Amino acid sequence: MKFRIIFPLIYILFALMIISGAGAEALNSKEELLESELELAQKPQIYFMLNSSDKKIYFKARGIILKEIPVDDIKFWGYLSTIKPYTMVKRSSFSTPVRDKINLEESDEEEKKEEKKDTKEKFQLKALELSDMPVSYTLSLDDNLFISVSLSEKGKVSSLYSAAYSLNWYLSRPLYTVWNTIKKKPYTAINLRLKKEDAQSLYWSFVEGGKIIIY
Amino acid sequence: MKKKILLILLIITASLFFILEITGWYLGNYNSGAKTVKENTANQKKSSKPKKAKNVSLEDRLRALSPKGLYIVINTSGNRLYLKKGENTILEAVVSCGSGNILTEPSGKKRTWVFDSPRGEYSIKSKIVNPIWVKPDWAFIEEGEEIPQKTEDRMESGMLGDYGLAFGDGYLIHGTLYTRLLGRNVSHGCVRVGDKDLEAVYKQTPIGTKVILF
Repeated sequence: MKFRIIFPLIYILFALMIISGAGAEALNSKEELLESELELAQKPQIYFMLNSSDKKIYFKARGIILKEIPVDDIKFWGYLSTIKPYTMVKRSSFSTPVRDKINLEESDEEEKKEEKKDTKEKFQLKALELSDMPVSYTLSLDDNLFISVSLSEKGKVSSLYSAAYSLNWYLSRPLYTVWNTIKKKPYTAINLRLKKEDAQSLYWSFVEGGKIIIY
Repeated sequence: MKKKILLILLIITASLFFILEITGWYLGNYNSGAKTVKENTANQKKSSKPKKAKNVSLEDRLRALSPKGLYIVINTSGNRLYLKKGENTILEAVVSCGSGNILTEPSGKKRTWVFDSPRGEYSIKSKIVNPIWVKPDWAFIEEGEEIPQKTEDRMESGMLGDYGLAFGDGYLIHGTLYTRLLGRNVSHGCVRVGDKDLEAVYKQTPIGTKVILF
C-alpha cells in the first residue's frame, strides 16, 4: 500500500524537478539571447540571427526584422556553449564575385554601340548584382565556428557538389574535431541549406566584421 | 617481405584514421546543437521570478531601440526601398543601388573609388527640392574629362530628379533620368528612385528619419 503512494509521489516530484529545471534553462537562454541582441542593437549596424529551432535567418537592425529567410536544412557539428554574438572573419567560396573595373579607354562610340546592342538583346550590365553572388560558401567566424552554406535545390551540378561536400563534411569534420580537442580549442561547424536567392542575399549582406547570434 | 611491411603499415594507418574518425565523430556529435550547455543546479534552484522580470526589462530596452515613427529600409541587393512605420510597410519602391564597380584614377594620385551603396543605419540630414549635382572628381575621371578647378563648373542640374534626401557621407536618395534601369544595380552608391515614389518619400519623411540599408 505504501509503495502505491510513494512511487507516484516520487514520479511527480521527479517530473516537477525536470520541468522547473527546463524552465530555468529556458529563462537563462532567453536572458543570454536578449542581452546579446541588445548589445548588437545598440549600435547602428545590421546584424543576423540564426534560429536553429525555427530554421530561419533574420537580418536585423535596432531589434527590427529587415528580412527573414527560411533554412531548408540545418546540421550541427559540435556545440555552442553560450548564446553570444559571433563576428565573421572571412568568407570563402569557389567562385568569389569579381568587381568590374571601369575601363576608361573605352570610346564613346563603342559605348553607344554596346548600348544599342544591349537594348536590342538582353541588357548586359557591368555591375555586381545579387545573381553574381555565390550559392555555396563558407563563413569563418571567431571561436572556430564555421557556417557553410549550400543549395537545397537539387540540380545535376549541385547534386555532384552536394555529394562531394557531404564526403568532405563526414571525413574532415571528425579530424578537425580531434585536432581542436587536442589543442583545447572549440570547434563548431554548421551546415545550412538555402534556396539560391536566399544564399546569395546572405552572402551579399553578411560581410566581414558582421555579427551573428545563433540560438 | 616488403609487401608484408607495406600491408602492415597500411593497416596501421587505416586503423589510426578510423580511430580518429570515430573519436572525432563521437566528440562532434556529442551534445550537438546550438545551446546544449547544462545549467548548473544552483541556477535551477534559484527562483525564476527575478529572471522573468529581467527578461521583460531586456525586451523593453530592445523595443525602445527600434525607430520611432517612419523609417526607410533599403534592400541594396533587391533594389527595393520600403517606407515603414512599425511593422507596416507604407510604400514599396523599385530603386537602383550601387553597382559595386571600381574606378581607378589613371594618373596623378591614382585614387580608387568603389561604387557601393553603404550598409548600416543612417538618418536623413537634409532635404532638397530640385537638387543640383555638384559633380565629384570621379564623375569627370569616369567621363575622361579634366577635373575643373571652379565649383560652378561642377554643377549640373536635372540629373538628380525633383527631390534629394541626403543621408550622410555624400549619399542621397534622389531621382533619375534612367528609369528603365530601376531595379538594377547601376548607381555610384546613391539610391535612385522613380519620380512618383520619390515625391511620396520626400513628402512623408522629415529630417532625422532613420535610413537602414542592408
